[in-house]
Amino acid sequence: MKYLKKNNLKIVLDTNLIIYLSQIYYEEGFCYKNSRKNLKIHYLNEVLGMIIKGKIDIILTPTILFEIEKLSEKFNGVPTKFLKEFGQRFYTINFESEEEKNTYIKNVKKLACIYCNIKTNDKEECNSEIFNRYIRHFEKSNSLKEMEEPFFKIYNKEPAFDAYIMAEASLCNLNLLTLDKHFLRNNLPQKIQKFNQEYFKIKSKPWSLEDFYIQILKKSPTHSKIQNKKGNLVSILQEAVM
Amino acid sequence: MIDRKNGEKTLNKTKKLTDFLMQKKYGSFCYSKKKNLTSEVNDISVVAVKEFRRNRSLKLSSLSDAKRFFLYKKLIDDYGKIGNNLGLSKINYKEIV
Repeated sequence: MKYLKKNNLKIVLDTNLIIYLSQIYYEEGFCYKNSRKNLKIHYLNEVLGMIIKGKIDIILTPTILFEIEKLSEKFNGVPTKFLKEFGQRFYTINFESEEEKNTYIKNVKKLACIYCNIKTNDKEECNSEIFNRYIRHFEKSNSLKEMEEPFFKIYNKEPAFDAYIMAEASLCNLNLLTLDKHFLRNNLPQKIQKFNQEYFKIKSKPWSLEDFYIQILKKSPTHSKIQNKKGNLVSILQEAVM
Repeated sequence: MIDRKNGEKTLNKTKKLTDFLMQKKYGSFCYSKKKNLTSEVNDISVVAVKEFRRNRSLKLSSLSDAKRFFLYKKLIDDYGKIGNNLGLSKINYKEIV
């Protein structure tokens, strides 16, 4: 069993980001003509540099790992190859007992329902103070008035897949770095952050690459070195490996 | 739903569904974020009913909850195996939260 490094940044990476990063790493031809997307590539290069240098610990949640495995074939196995190569930096969650696993599953479901503003029938109190607090509130008000509209859609009375991914990240109390517009639309990151903080005292939110760059990468000690290379992918990787 | 009068039929159906789930590896559940999940969730209903009754201690509130619970549980059971195959690091859930 490994332990997370104290000073390392901990984060949940969305599937699309892992796929992009693996493509950048193995296929240098990955390049956009559009200037806005070029900026995105620059950010991705810096994230990749942090992974290679071991400055970042990435938690792969169950749904994200399954999605990567499923999609990997479409990308010639590049994403899973990337995970294998940097397996030390990618963590899966280990459940020590069936009870712990079951509690996690139920909590993910509950939180996903909350994000979709679905009232759950489950009145059993979990072992988590977070949910006890929520359940008390939810049963009083029958809905969360502060939520102008559900964060994610519902399909046949079940939370959307996105809601599950966000719920998993929140249960790990980590930010979800993503490119997915479903997580980043209409100030949704701010709304989720406020909501999580207020009800559950957790800090998780969806994180765009731009915000991640401003809040973390720009302040990183490795940043200046990478900047001097003017975004040249090969030199960044060479430096990072050294 | 389970046909109570025909246990054998139910058993075969359950086995078929289990095989089906193993083959599909919960594909659409994991692959498409937008795709309607109903069909796969319904397909697991027989397994869910059986397990729902067997595992009273889980206190699942409805059949719908049971379906979702077991679908997701199977996904998590395989999650550890995939992580091992890829040689990923492990971290105890308690340490994260």
